[in-house]
Amino acid sequence: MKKLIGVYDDDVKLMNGIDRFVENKVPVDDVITPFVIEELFEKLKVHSNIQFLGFVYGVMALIGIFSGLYYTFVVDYPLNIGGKPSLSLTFVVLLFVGMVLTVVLLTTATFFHQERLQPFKKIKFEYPGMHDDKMVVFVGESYKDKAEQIFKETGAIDIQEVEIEA
Amino acid sequence: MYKKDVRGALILGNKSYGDITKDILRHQEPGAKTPLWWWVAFFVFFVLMSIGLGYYVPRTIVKGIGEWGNNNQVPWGWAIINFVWWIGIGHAGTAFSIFLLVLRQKWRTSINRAAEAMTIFAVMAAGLFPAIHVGRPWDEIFIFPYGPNTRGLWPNWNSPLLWDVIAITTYLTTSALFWYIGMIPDFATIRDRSKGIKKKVFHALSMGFVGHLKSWRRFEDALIIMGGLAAPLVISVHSIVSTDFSVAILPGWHETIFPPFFVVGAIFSGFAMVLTLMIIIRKVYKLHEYVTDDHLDAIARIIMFVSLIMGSAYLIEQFIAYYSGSIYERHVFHELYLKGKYADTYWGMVIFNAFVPQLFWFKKVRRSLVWLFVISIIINIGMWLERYNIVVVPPSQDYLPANWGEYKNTTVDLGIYLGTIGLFGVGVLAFMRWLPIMAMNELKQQGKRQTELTVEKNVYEIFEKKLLK
Repeated sequence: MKKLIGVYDDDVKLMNGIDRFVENKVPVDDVITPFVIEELFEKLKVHSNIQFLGFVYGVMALIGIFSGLYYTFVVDYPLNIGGKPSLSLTFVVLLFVGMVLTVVLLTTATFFHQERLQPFKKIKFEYPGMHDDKMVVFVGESYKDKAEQIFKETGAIDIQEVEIEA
Repeated sequence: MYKKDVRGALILGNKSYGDITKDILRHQEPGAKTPLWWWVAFFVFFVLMSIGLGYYVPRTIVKGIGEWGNNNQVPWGWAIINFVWWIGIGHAGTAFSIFLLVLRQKWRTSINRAAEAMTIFAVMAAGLFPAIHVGRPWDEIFIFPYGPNTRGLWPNWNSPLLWDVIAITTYLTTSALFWYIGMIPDFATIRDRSKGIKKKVFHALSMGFVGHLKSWRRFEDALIIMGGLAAPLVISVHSIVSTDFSVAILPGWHETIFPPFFVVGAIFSGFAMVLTLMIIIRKVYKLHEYVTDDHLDAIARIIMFVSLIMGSAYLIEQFIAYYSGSIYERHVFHELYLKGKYADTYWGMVIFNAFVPQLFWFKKVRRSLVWLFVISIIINIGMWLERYNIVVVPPSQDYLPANWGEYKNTTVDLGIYLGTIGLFGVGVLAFMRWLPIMAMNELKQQGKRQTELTVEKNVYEIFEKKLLK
């Protein structure tokens, strides 16, 4: 797949460029940055479902752990203390800690799965300094002329056409 | 996004993004020589670790807990003192990373990585003690809920000791994952800059991470979820450690103040250890532009404030002992602590934790590396003494005078303690040598906004806006 890339070495210039792309309705396919730029998420409407999934994991974990504790302490081996089953508020501690452990493990697994992270994974696109001080903007080839003009006007240090594996 | 207006520049010297990478990785770049001090320090800590974990721990396991100073009257000695001390230190990483994240304190970025690393090694050191203090580590499986068929009953979910096992495991897992995931982008930076075997190692460690938009979004969301959960976890873990004591009906242990007191104490000792470590990192790696005087000043202020809370807690304990009217409580607090044979450790604790940090009221002290370093060490000693007072003193003289006993540690106790210090030191030195010591991606995120020029401009702009209004 052919793409046009524009490389910036300054996030202020990058944001100006992105603003221009949004104004001119040129879709930006991707941006590789060496650090999180939260304004980019807002401008290019990038979302993830990890927070929602984290909440779901939490609810599942609470239900699961409570059921487990209830089964062991009330159903399977009831301890009668003063005539009542020993289902006390102490459960809250284990519910919380167990929930944290479950959510942390599952969130990590989700992150790794969604990003397909694994040792020695092949890196499909490399640009020198893309994790150091360069920011690479990807635009589809069909918008080549407009994009090239915007890149030039907003101070991109390098403009190239590249072939990217799908 | 949060824009820092009040605090001074967080990174001095008008650094570009490239400069940040170069500065942080300077000592790891090809051709950079490992300095002599590193080898010397590594050797010392390695020897300590080998003696402690290679000789005294096996000796305890082979010969039994009789090798320690513990006795019938004082059943928990140095092992639990050290356990609580290390766990306390371990809380700083999360305190820095999470509490300061939640409070939007961006100055954490130069420090959080080292603090998190410290957490991991401190929790590892702490985890050793519960494992060996049962005397027969091979029987530890009984504490895990592996089914009732083997023993006929489930673990007692009402026991704080069981909560402790689960809480510490959770804390270690959470902080290790938080630390590792936070480092993945920095591993990618190192991967891109290195060659040969090093490149392969960091390729594996970075898991093929590339900073795509979506990747950063998921990265942030995952870290926020984990961080948000880890913050209350810190509070719960040390509260649970404190309930190990406070559920016992022993004068001096049976206190409702224990959970908050322990949590605050943990943060106190942790911040002190962070201060010690950051001063060393700043000095030896010449990173004074990243760990600025303002950073150290901010840590010192927090320590001073927490020290006031500690002082109040000591006073409240004394007052409640008096106010309760219980002769047993009064015996522990007024006789043993204030003037008895444990008075030296008690007053040591009070002076080191409540009085010495008050020197931080003076700007000169907060701005002097020597003072900061000395006081941070003093606080760590003070916090160890506090745990000594809690673990040893109350059980040594409880309700029945006929049972009163005395505690004296043995060489084995000392050896194992020094062994864990060795383990901690080796871990921290390895971290300094091979891993990114500061969160480069987070520093860059502050980047432009917080270098000197931009800050001045920002302040000027805000001033102008206010005037216009």
